[in-house]
Amino acid sequence: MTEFISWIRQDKMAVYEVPANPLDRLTPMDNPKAFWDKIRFHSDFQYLSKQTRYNGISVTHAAIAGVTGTGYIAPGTGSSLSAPVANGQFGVATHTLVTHGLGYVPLFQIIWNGNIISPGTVIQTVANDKSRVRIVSPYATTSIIGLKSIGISSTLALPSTSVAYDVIVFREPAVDPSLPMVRLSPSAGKFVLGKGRITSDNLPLRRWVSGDPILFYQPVERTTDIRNGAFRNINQAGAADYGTYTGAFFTTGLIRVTDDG
Amino acid sequence: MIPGQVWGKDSSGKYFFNADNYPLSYANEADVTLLSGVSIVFPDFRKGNAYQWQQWDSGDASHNPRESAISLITMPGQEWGPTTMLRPPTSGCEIPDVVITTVPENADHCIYEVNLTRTVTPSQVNGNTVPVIFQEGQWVQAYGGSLLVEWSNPYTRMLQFYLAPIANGDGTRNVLMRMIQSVVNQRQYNYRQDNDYNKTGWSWGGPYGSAFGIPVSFRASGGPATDVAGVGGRYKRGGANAVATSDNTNYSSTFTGQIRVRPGRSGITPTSGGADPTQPFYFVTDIDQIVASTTTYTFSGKQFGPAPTGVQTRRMMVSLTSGGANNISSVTIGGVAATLVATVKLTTVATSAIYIANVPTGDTGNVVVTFSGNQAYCNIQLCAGYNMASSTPDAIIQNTTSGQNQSLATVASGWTMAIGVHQPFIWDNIIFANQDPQLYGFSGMGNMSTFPASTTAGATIASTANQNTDGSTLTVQLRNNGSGVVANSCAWVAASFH
Repeated sequence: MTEFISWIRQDKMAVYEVPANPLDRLTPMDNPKAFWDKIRFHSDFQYLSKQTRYNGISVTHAAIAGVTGTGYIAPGTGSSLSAPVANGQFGVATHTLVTHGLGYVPLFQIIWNGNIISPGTVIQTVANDKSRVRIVSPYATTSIIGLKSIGISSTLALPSTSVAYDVIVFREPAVDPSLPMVRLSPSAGKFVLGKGRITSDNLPLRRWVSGDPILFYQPVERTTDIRNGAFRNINQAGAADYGTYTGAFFTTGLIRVTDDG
Repeated sequence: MIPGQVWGKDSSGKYFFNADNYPLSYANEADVTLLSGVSIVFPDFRKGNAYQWQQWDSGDASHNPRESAISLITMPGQEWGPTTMLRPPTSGCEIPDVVITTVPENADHCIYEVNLTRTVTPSQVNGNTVPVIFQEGQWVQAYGGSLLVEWSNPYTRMLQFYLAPIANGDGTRNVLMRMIQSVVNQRQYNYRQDNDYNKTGWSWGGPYGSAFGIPVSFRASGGPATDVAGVGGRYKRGGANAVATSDNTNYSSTFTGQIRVRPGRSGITPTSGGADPTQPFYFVTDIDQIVASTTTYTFSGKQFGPAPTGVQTRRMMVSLTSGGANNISSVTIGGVAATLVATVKLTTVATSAIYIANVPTGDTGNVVVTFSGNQAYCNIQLCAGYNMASSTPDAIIQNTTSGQNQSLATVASGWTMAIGVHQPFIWDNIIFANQDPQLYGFSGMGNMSTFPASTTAGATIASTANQNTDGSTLTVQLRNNGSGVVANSCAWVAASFH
């Protein structure tokens, strides 16, 4: 059976597995990074919590007009090269999903159809026409959570599409010197650990167990690979290829995360 | 304190802390690595050129030849990255991984963020500037360390950040950055199969020119002009009025800015996302061609995909076309005799076929196609199917008519593939990928090879879907550049599997 220590000092608080002899029992308390695999909580570490979840933010992505190119034609046999050479065009746009107004760049996630949106996520395709797609890439500033979209048409237009996104903005609680290292008020359902690193008002992201609601799947291994000029994305729903992907990327590693709130 | 348990509950009995289901922890503000002044340079691609020489009767009293020419810069299929990739890069295209920082060795994942701006833009691709995928100049998170950077036919670029699997032994673990770039390997059927630039039409050349060279930029043109001396050949490659073919492009990209690495620990083995290894999962290898008058075509060292492990099975399917009147005697894949799935001949002109074999070993192998007599060429395309229900197809098409819909039944979570060869039509330009004429109608987004009508018989198209079938009956057609329904114009086959 694993033996834990909970240690509270004026400057630190930690819960960790007791180190094996001959290490001093306080060693992980004073050197948490070296014993990170033994730590269950330490006031020196950062614990993310969900600040706000915004659901169902609707974005209308505009249509991208088709372009018919001429191809490359030797002189005297066809139209001039001054006309568009290639078929199709790129249409680039940015969209503000959330004005968070936090004054700093937060960690966040954008979720669409239950999956995390990463740079290059394809949110629109056209049946039987792989040349027309729309991809998006999330980003954050000190004031907004945004989405960059790139639509690609062919000789035919890429139609407009309306998509609903969810946005989760995370809080990164800093140490608040005015708070105690530990405060427990069970009757009120309130607690403080590590001077605000974790509080009852900001439940931390934690490992999921059966019965918990799944907040999201956090990828901890690569989610994308490219080969043969194509790319493959993998999330918990499966794999999707854009182009003829001929690589050897079949699975990724995901952590189911909850905050129980 | 009870050994083995540390928890806290509120008055309702709800845990607010539990050492068994502990929070994800991350390095604090002081230990987040911020790298500034970063410069990431993706190298230029290997290129060749394409050269079209046209010649026709000027119509003057002496019927002097009238000529013109155009040259293009092309990119052949190529893979760049470190030699440690599971699928190695093209020889000479190595980009080693670089260590960008270290983190505590017990960190088991990181949050990677970049704030980058493209400061050197690559040359345009056929008149279009390839956009950057992510928002430049703002913080972007690379989930799982993966960041797609540029994506446009024919090339893709990405960054991959990852933790070294082995710690340094001093309490730290390296964080590495990998740069990968890739160009599609897709045969361009407009080139003369014999590449004889002393004849009219398209020829390839240059340091990395090949039949797989995809046009990316206009280089030069000349004419039209009438050669009143009646000699002709002045505008051909290497002729007196040949147009330039030297490479005047640079597809290198440079990104500068910042990278932020925040190590973290979850302490749990991640769940596998993606394909269930017990379910069928397919991928397609490159189209390959041998042009030679022979009875036996040996395609050496073809990629088969990972050899099956455990209870997995693997079947390899090869689709092929060949020019000539002879019959297929045998097909072997990885040394295993393959079974015929579908085949059709266009009189004495050409043959298309699909074969399948159970190939349980080897990541690579040879494909050998043998005919009853000499053929002019052979093209193949490979597909791997894991844990398929059967080698028997769900449906097949064997057809010699173009421009007419056919039906192909499918089973859900299956796969389709097709290949065909078409009679010559008159053409005079290069048509870009996924344009008319094309083979379409497959589940999801079929990846269509280009197929311009060609003055050269035996031009081949091949197509496979890149998403699983949904159980519906597909409408499939080998289109012929708007010529309507034309019987006895082609030889094409298709098959669905699951």
